[in-house]
Amino acid sequence: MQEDILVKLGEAVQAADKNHAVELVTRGLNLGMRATDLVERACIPAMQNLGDLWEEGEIFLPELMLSAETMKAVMAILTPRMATEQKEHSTSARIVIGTVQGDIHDIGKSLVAAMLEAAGFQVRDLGADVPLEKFCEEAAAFQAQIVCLSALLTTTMMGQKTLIDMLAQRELRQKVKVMVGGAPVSRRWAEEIGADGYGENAIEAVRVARQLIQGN
Amino acid sequence: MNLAERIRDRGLLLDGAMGTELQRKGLPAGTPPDLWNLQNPEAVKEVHASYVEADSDAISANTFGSSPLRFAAHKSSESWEIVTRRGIALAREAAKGRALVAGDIGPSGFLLAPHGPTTDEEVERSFAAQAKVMDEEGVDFFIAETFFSLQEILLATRAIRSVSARPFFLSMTFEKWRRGFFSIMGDPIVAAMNAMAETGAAAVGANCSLSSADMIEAAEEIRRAVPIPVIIQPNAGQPQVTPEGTFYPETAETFAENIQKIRALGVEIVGGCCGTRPETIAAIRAQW
Repeated sequence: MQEDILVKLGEAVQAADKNHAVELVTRGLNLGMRATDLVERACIPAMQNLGDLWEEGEIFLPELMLSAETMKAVMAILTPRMATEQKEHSTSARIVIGTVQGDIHDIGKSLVAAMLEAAGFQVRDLGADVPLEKFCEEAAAFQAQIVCLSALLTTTMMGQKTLIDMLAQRELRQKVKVMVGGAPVSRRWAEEIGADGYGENAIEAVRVARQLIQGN
Repeated sequence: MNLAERIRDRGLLLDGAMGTELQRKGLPAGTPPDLWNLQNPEAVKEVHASYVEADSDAISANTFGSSPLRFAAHKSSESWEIVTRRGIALAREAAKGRALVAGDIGPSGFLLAPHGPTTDEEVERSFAAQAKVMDEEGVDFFIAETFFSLQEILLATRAIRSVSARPFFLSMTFEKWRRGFFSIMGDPIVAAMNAMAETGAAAVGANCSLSSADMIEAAEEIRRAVPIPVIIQPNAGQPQVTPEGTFYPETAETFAENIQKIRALGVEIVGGCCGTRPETIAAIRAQW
């Protein structure tokens, strides 16, 4: 029964069948399934699958966006549950995340934010098109250990480098780790600009964030 | 000789990039290039003049993003209308009668319903306003380019036709996938060309996204698909971002050689998109 729900939920996310996905999640939770399992074993694999289909040119932006909408509806139910489930082994590390100035792309960054939260981090999501100044202010005010910067445009990637320089100027660089991500961003780019971590996708982002905190 | 005859008899060499040239002149990343029509008009004029010097037959005014919807999106305090009028005037001043001036229209920046919050009517109204101002400023023709949605470029076309009788070129942007060329919204290249050709466009084709090497294959499909003039403007390769800045890998020579191959297919109108420079246009002219 529970396996069946996982399979069907994955299919519903991929088919962008929002109502059915929400119904399956509710049924799963009523059966006592963990929100974390629903996310990690159904939703994330479905999103990865969609990513593969996109790379192959089998689906296009409209399909991807509709599935992201479905994912959002599902995560709205699951995120608060996961926070409770994770409380006992919460790292309580603090993360500030956002998409850099000039870049309005939100979907990938929000997914990473939700996954980090699911993994027990305290996450402050600043949204998209965030002035670099604001990253510095919020990182200091929130006493963040990690700042995550997303950029989807080659023109705004440079903002990731600028922010690292800004943190250094304000003597904040020793206090926070910087993680970067986004479609055009690569491990090589992350190394070149002196970032501490890079996540190819949301799952890797969580793994890298954990490593950075444990390394502290 | 009217534009159609000129295209048929001699072809038309357009200009290269504006945005990436302005970035070289210090335009900060994230700042809409059109704003420099007011803030740094000399730089805009210099770029235009360098393309006229490289012997472009026509130059595109720096008005790609000067539409009511786009200005509302980046919360600019400047008026899109003043930016548009100034943009056309700057191109005209730089052309000095030696090159034609095109009113350049880019996508609204919004996704249309049901994928986004914008209705067809809003988008069409925005394009119509932009095109009307361009018509009043006396552009020689319109070029609607870099559209990634067939639905949206058809709205732009309707808008242009509702306010002006001037010729218009339509150009969409495609990516190369395993199954062929599609826009990111999933429009197949041949179907898109056929739909655009039916609007009465003076030319249809593709620009941006693809390198000049990949564009040869796309141009072949487009040429086969439509009987009307074809317009092709590739990027100078895929942008490589480094901490020192963004670079486009294709040299002017490589680009010009590939354009030569594209022209040999029977493509009449060529130019360059992101990363192309006056030297690129000069190299194409040298082989004309």
